[in-house]
Amino acid sequence: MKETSRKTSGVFWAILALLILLPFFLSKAYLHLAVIIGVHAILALSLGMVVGFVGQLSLCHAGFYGIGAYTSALLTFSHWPFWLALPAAGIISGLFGLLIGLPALKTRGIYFAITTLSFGVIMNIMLNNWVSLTNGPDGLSGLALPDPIPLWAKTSISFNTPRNYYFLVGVFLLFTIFVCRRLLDSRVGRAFRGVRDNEVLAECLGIRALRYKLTAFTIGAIFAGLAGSLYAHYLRYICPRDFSFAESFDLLVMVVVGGAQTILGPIVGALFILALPKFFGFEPVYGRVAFGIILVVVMIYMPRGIVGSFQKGFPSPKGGAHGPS
Amino acid sequence: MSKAKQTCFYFCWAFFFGLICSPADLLAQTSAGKGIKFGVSATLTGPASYLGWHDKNGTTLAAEEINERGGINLKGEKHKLELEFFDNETKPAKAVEGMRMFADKGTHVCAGPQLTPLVYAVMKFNEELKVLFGSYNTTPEVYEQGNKLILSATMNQKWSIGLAAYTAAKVLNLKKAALLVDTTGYGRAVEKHFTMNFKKFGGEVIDVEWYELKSTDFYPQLTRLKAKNPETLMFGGMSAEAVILIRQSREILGKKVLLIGSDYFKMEQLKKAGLEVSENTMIPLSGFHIIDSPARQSFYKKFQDRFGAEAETYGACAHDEVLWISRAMEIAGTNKDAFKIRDAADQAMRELEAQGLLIGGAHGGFLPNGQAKKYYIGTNILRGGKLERLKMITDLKEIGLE
Amino acid sequence: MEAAILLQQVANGLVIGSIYAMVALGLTLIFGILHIGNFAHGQLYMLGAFATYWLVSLWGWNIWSSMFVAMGLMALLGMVLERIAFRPVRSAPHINGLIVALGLFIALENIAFILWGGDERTLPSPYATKMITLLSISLTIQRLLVFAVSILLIFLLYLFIQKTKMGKAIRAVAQDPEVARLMGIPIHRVSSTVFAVSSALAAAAGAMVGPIFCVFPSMGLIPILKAFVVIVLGGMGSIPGAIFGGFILGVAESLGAGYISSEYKDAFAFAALILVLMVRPTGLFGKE
Repeated sequence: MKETSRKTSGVFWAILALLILLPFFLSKAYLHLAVIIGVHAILALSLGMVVGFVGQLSLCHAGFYGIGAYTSALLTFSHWPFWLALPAAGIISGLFGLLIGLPALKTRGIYFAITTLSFGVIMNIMLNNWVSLTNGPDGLSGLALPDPIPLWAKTSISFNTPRNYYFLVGVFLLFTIFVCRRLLDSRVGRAFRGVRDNEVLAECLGIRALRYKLTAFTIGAIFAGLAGSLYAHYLRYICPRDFSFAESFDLLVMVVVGGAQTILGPIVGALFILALPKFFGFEPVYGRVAFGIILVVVMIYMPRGIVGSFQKGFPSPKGGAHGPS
Repeated sequence: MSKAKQTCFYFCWAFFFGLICSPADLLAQTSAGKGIKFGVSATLTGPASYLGWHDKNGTTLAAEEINERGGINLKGEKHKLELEFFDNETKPAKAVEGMRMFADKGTHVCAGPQLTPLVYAVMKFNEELKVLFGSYNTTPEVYEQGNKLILSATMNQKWSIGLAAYTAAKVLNLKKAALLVDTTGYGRAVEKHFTMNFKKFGGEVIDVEWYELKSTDFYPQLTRLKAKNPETLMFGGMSAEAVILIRQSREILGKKVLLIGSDYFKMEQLKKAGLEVSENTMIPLSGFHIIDSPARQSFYKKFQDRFGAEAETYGACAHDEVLWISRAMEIAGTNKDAFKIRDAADQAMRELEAQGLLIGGAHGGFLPNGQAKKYYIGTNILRGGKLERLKMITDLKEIGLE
Repeated sequence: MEAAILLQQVANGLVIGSIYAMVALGLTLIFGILHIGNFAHGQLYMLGAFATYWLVSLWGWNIWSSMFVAMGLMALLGMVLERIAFRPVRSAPHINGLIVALGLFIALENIAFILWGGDERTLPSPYATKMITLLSISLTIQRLLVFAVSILLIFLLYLFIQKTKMGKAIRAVAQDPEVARLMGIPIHRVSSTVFAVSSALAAAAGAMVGPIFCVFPSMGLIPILKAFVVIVLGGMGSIPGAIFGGFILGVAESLGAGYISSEYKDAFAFAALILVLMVRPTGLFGKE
């Protein structure tokens, strides 16, 4: 474990260096895509916490993403500085995660999936129809950019270019990865795995399954909220359609296809899924057909996802006893 | 494979894959022709794909028209006009992306995006990016935001709804009206302007029912409306919903209630709903459907021959957008300075109007806020299977509005 | 007048409820034997509607024959999907099947979009513009037909499940697949048949609804979501649950929209679902 971790460190730093140098060579259009991929990587990781860590299929994750985005937007409209609105968005999303998770996690399996689906649909309906708060289907525009970070000698880092925003998102992505790693390596992580693999047994061993599931669900919601804020202040326009069931589905595809039980999986998934439509250039709808088919194929032949299949060796063709988690 | 190698492998693979996965994008950038690029941000997919299709065709015909006359004349040199299409998928985020892409490529003029939510999204950026765009199908509030690089290609709800209210109240002498609108800014604008104007002309709006965009079941709302007994019912609604709005309304409310469609209701929808069912329905018809010039007829015929369908206001407005922005480029002598081009737009429109080349209905030049000064618009009612004109104006003052 | 309005809302609810019932029935049958929540079922509804649309518009067939042919085509498609996508994940955790279904859902919707565009089309039907008034309820003949045809199909299905040999086999597999297999029941054939029947029902629903609510690629989302609500409330795998649940949901929604709020109409179903699941995490009549 220690020997490979030293090698992994080396590779990690190399990739990190590559990613840091990259934005200086990419055009604006690619940088824009990179920022979007980065935000979705954070989102996918946050969903991975629920699907991968504790093995539950949540279909309302885009709702937390949306709550984070709208919270951040509305707070900045009320003259809150971005750097306060961002954590606030995470916290409010987390709160909703807690509120929804408490009742929802009483159910399991397909019931949990449908419950979260219902919550997701309700959240979207509220975003669309609570016009006085959210401006309804037309969305909120003119969101502020993050306030510049002052440096020495009267210069500051401003975020009006995609390149700088890329770094901002990159920092948060690293933070998210860090949190995931720490969680997984800790006692809490072991409890997660216990709950995921065999909930009944875990309960017998004294692990309060509900508490751990709720923790993962809430933390997932917090990070989704942070991603929402980052997204909102980059695009500076948000509308309920960005946070619909379709988005929850896309996130699920990223996590499942990438590999739910890993940290790298959701990131690779996000990259793969968002870069794929670009391949088809003009018509992204072909990309979505591909997602669907890829999802089916992956679930049948590689339920551990791309990364997952590499990490633990290939499972038997029918997927064996392991699901996406 | 060791863990490290694996990490390396798929990370590099995924990233590389992501980077090389835009041959379409790369190709587009390297194949820059010598022509002048004109962006078209269209809703080619998504709920408004109908509009996008008309946009694409209308702008194509406009570009051909211009190139047949030798192209755009900038400072003595003639250049071909090249359209560059971007599918914004009826998504505001995509529309912004499109605008950024055009700016990146040095294209500072654009037709579209055309719908209110898309316009609201790009409006916060197009001045920064210095891209001038023309738009139709937006609510009047859009032009009150102070944006200096937007031009309106067609009349908005102030006109169409104001005239509808006038016609219902003053021409048809109806007193009690109800509304069935969606919760978007467009629906709300319809509600606001109709209520305001109907009251002004002596009527009263007794009930407003809302629905979520893309709904297809209006029975609950219509049943509620039935209880209030309106004499007339006005819809917001897009072309696709028009058919079922009309049918379901007739079913629940009966034949005596005058149905009023908004900008999106055309004769085609009335036919699809069934002429018998659509009897006693009023629709506004703007510009393209009222004007009867040679240019308009030629466009109509070309559209029919090339694309196999009847031309619509949408394509005509998009066509005009290309025309007057192109002429403005000629007058300003630049295709890069968006502000200069915008300033020349007023003159451009009036010149084109004088030459009889405009077909969308807007005319008279541009107001400082980007709206056209005048439009052709009329209200028509379906009686005995045929549309009868009830009222037509070219100036809001004719009905006491402004 | 009050009573008339109430009756109208109830009638509206029964019509929409029959659609919910038909779709939910197919869904519950599939769940009963495969324990997979087949999300893609919503697209068979949509494709059934499109098939009928094209037969009527392009070849001028009458709506009844078009509907029957569409039902047949969708039955075939259902069997194909069962074979290539659902059978391989039958023994995997049920969540895998749900994800496969989600993947098919998205793929099919977008294929429809590529082929036919997103425009809402009205299925031409001679019954859609003829109106009648029954007991002060206004209805087009089409809406009346939706109700009548669904009752008929549901009744036929009931006969099939209760009285035929295959129906018995289906019930056996739903009860206990292992024992059923041991007793020599051809599980694969049962599976195929269930998919065929469910898909045909969904196609019929789509075809009937086309003239009223339009035909377009994303028309399947709301019905399938509601169908899920119905089967969770009525008991997953329970046939009476799906039937009665569908009608009850339709009427409750209609009354909610009529007397509480019409914009939030869709939210009622989901809110009800959540409330029920909080009290009974496996649904009202759930077995697991």
